[in-house]
Amino acid sequence: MTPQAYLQQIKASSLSESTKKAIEKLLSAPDTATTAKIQELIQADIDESFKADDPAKMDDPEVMKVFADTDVELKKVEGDLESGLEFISKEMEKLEADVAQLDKIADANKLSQVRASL
Amino acid sequence: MKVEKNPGIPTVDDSFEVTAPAERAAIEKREAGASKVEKGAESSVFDAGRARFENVANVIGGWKEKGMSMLKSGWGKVSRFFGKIGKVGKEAAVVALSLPEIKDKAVEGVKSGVERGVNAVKSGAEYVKNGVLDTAAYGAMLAQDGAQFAEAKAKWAKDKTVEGGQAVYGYAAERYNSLRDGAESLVNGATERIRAAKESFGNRINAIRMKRLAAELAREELKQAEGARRVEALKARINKFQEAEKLKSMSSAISFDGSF
Repeated sequence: MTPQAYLQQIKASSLSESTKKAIEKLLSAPDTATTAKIQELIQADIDESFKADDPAKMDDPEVMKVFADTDVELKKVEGDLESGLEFISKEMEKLEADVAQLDKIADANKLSQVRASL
Repeated sequence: MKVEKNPGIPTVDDSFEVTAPAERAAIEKREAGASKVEKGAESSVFDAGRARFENVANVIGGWKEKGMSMLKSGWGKVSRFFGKIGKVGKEAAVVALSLPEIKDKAVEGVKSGVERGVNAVKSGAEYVKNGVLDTAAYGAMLAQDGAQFAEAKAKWAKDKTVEGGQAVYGYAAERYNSLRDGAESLVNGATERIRAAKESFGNRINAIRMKRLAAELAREELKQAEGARRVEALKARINKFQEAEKLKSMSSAISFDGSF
């Protein structure tokens, strides 16, 4: 399907006008993230339209399960990022220590050379 | 911005670009002012879901800031050393590299320093899969490379050779780039996982919505069918009464004159 054909489908849909315009704008200058952005816009439109009277209720066991699963995944992402960055942070500290030592070696070499030139 | 291996004159890229427009938007929104959700108005799945993802985007943003701060701090220290090395050939700041020929060889020298031996340091991004850093493998690689570096460092301290200075220079540059690439890849991986989680969340909630709506529709159709049956039954009873009334009325017109 061409972007133009897709846009026609969008225009003929029941999505809100602001969503339609946002999608049209995205399609006019597509990049690798365009599909994901369009999907996010459509989902946001759906969410907004269901906001006042959502058939999925907060106390619905199935909804609660979705939230629980999502929270587990989000916590895992946070944990993975935290532990990974902490590891890199420690390695960065080692590098800084190495560089400080290199400074000293450079200074010592300089002193040695100055002495030799005297 | 990625730094290529063997980049000619070694460069250390301290930029820390991540591709997270949705995350950035969430952070900007948070910074612009507390949203309705943050004030505790989780009245719907929409609000609650949005609050969950805004919250985690904030956390990820916090870690990104921390990572950037860490890298900038490291960059500050590393760049001072690089600055010193960068004066090679112009002054005797680093005497190990101040031999007469270094002036002409300065550019070529620092380039070959990176190419020589220090390429053992692999990009940290290679150790990140789906936003998870394989710390064991990455740590083993860095430790192995660190041992080689220690040798180069000791050799430079002793020999004060141009090559020694180039080698340690290249080592530090490559290691910094490796760590930066690793951190960048981690944040991008986390951002992608958040996006995927959000997509999955939306899809699953939509499926529940469809199911609930379909059930409600079935109930309404059943009610309508029942209503239609009741309508027909009522119509039949009314007809019967009307017919009965009519018949009753007609019965008054019967003439019993014996002509039956």
